[in-house]
Amino acid sequence: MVSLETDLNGLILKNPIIAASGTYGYNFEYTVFNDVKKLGAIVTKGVTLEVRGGNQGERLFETYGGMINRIGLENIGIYEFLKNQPKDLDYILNIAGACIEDYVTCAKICEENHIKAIELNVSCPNVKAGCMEFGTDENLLYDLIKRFKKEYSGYLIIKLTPNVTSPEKIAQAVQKAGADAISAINTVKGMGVKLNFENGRFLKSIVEGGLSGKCIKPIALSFINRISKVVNIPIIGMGGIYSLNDVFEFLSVGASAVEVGTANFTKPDICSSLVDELELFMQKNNFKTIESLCEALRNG
Amino acid sequence: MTLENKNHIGIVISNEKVANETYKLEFLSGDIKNINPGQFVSILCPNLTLRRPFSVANFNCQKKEITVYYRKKGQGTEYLTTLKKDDEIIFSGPFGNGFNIENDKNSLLVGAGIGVAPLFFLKKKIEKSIFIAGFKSEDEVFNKYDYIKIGGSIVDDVERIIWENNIQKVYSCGPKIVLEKVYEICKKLKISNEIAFEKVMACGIGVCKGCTINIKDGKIIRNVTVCKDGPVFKGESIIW
Ligand SMILES: Cc1cc2nc3c(=O)[nH]c(=O)nc-3n(C[C@H](O)[C@H](O)[C@H](O)COP(=O)(O)OP(=O)(O)OC[C@H]3O[C@@H](n4cnc5c(N)ncnc54)[C@H](O)[C@@H]3O)c2cc1C
Ligand SMILES: Cc1cc2nc3c(=O)[nH]c(=O)nc-3n(C[C@H](O)[C@H](O)[C@H](O)COP(=O)(O)O)c2cc1C
Ligand code: FES
Repeated sequence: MVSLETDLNGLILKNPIIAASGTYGYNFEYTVFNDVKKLGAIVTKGVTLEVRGGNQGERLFETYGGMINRIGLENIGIYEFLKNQPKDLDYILNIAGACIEDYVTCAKICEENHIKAIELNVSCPNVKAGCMEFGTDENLLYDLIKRFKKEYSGYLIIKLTPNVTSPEKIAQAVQKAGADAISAINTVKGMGVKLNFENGRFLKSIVEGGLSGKCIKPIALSFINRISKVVNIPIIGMGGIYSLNDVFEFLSVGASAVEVGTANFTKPDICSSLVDELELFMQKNNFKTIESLCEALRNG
Repeated sequence: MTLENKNHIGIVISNEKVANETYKLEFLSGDIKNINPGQFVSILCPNLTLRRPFSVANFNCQKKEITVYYRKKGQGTEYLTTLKKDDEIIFSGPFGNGFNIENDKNSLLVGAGIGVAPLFFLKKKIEKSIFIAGFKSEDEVFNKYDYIKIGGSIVDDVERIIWENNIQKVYSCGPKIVLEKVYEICKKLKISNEIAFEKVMACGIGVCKGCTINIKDGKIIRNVTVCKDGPVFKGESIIW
């Protein structure tokens, strides 16, 4: 018997495969594609204190090996989410805010509602105010986490942006502030330009936002490798995961679990498939626990 | 929770060129039970991140056969042209809300270019209808219609045809500019109008909010997703 149980130092998941925020909805929506209950957890779409309508205009742009999105955090708001919380589903609530007060109010609400685990999005590149500002300034981030933790006693994951010059400094601030885990990476700032030459004139359409998918995997691996050298809290890795081998690459550079985002659009049943494939691999190759697998990968 | 599985593997029955840059693809659809006119399927294309959505142009429920018509645009549709009989395709769906069929009304179906595709399916399910279509040039025309306009705009004929045939409802699909003009005519004549809309899509089930548009719901303006709440909308709800 193999066990896929993954202990993230306080948060225990039945396996290390998690669906990433913004690609899986809030609840059981992906049941039309696969058995959502099979996953280690799902991370909900980012919710904010208020309902948000998101950005106007084109929000998606396919690029070579990935996509750019500028959804702008369209979401139902935390109160609406709480009304229809997923039942019998392991989920992590992703939260974003425009200012410290928003985050703190959400923390209080989550505490009151016994939300087990939160992923704090301090890394969304697609909104005008807040969010990514916190993730790019280690002092601001430290204060934010401290204040958040004062109100919230559950499991707290901080989701980092790769759009920084020193991932190490940011990660150290997160650990020092007492967060339970780090997840990374959020999308990479990017721009898609489409030109059409018609009747002697160029017609240009632009989508500027967050790049995700296969093409960002090398950035993500490097980011995780760098931060894993300076912190010892668990890291949840993501960025372009499309296969079991990709999962292994993340575990080998220091991640303890992974999130799968964009790949859900390409192969909507990928998350449950990865769980099956992982289990099969462990059985076949005699890895009894995720820890032993991770250890072998890190020493490889 | 017993929800219908929306992952499918299809087997190509035929894939043929029907007009300039335009193809008809028929495939076996596996376990799909029902599809309504206006709904679409999304096809996985090698090396592409996002699946490509196509309106269902026919669904044969007994034989489990889906027909789509596609126009060659870029990498995804280029891949579709390479498909041969017995090839497998991976697709998902059906997605979205189809047309709200009102059989007691005299209906007009207005298609422009490849926008005719979902209307073939609709035509089959509607009792009293006239199907008109506009194409840029002769070599783009495929299939049969009650009236065809080549070059110029099909919109110029809509009002006359409505009057002549006592039309009570108009369904339309095609470029936004055509849809808008058809809607304006319907508004003027106080006839109900449903349109099939397009937007770049990722998830297809309303969760990623990549295909959101604003619509008017009475006096309120609200967000809807084209993939789940649409792709068919009432003309009057669109903010043109
Ligand atoms: C609900 C719906 C129904 C459609 N029905 C048909 C149909 O019956 N026949 C037909 O020929 N076309 C249909 N289309 C359009 C079709 O999806 C695009 O032509 C196709 O995606 C082009 O892909 P490509 O890789 O060949 O071209 P690309 O060069 O990648 O794209 C060309 C254009 O296609 C559109 N497009 C690209 N990616 C997507 C995406 N992921 N989702 C939606 N649109 C995209 C964009 O407008 C883009 O500018 C439909 C679109 C929608 C949203
Ligand atoms: C359409 C879309 C919406 C997203 N929304 C959120 C969000 O609300 N909150 C968040 O923290 N990350 C969001 N992300 C980022 C992903 O969770 C993930 O960090 C990123 O896409 C990299 O992983 P991937 O390459 O596997 O997609 C979104 C990504 C996409 C593509
Ligand atoms: S494509 Fe995801 S919401 Fe419509």
